[in-house]
Amino acid sequence: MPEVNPSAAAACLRRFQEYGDTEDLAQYVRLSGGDTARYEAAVRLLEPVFDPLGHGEYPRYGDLDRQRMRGYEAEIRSIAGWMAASEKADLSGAGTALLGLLDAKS
Amino acid sequence: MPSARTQLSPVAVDRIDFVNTSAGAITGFPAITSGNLNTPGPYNNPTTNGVKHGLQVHFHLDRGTSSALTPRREIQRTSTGGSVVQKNPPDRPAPPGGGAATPGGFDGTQIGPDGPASHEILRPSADKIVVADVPGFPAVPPVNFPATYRAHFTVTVAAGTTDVARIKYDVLINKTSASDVPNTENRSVVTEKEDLVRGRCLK
Repeated sequence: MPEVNPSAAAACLRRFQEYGDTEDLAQYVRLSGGDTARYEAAVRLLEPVFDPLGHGEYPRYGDLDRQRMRGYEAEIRSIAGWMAASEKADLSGAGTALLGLLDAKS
Repeated sequence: MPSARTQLSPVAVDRIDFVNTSAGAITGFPAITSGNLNTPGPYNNPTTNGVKHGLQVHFHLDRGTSSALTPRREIQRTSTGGSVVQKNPPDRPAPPGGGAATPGGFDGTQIGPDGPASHEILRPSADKIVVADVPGFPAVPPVNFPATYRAHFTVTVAAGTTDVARIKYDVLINKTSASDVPNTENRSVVTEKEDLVRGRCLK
C-alpha cells in the first residue's frame, strides 16, 4: 500500500484542477489514502464526461449510467466537487453540472 | 417578395465570420484546461505534446439583439491515438433481438450535442454573438502517435424555437510525432453558412 503523502497529494489535486487529467486524480486518491479501486470505477462511469472534456468538447451527460452511479455516489460527488473547485471554466462547469445531476436525483 | 418567416422574425443574421487565426478574434473568454479560446488557430503544447485547434464563430445580426439568440452546437467526431479509436457520439450497438448497429463518429450517421458551454459564448455587442471552441487533444503520450482528430461541427443560433442562422465546418488534425510541429494537418474549413430567416446562403 503506498504511503500517504498529503503534500504530494495536494500537488496532484492542483494539477488535476489545472489540466483535467484523470491520471493526476488517481494519483491524488492514492497519495491521500483513498480507495483507488472505487475511485477508478467512478472515473470509468464518468467516461461520458471525461472523454469529451479531454477533447475540448461538451460532456455527454445524457449517456451517464445514473443507476450504476448510485453505487459510487460518494466518490462521484467528491470528484465533481474537486472539478467544480477548479479555476478552469470547462472543468468547473462540468463539475457543477455533475453536482446538479446528483442533487436532482436525490 | 419576403417570406412569412422573414416578415415575422424579429431577429436575423446577415453575416457569419469564421475566425481561425488571431486576425479578427475577440478576447474575454475565461481560461480552460488546455488551449485558449481567445487565440484561434493551431495550438501545440510542448510539455504535454497536446494538439488542438481554436476557432471563433461570429454571428452578426442586422435585426434584433444578440441577447435573444441561443447557440446550439452539434458534433460528429472520430479521434485516434495510436491504435485507439474514440467517437463522439459513440457507435450505438445493435438493439437486442436484431437490427443493425448505428455508427457514430466522423463517418457515422449519428449526430451528438456539443453544448456550447456558457464559458464558450460571448455577446460583445447587441449585434454580435460569438461562439468559441478549442477541440483536439490536451496531451498526447508518445505511444499515442500518430494522433488524429476529425470532426464535423454545426453551430445554429436560435431565437426561442426558431432557428435563425447556421454554420457547418470541419476540424482536421493530424500530428504524427511529438516533433511534428507545425503539424502535418491542423486546420478548419467552412462547408456551409446559412441565413435561415431569409433562406439564403451567406458568404
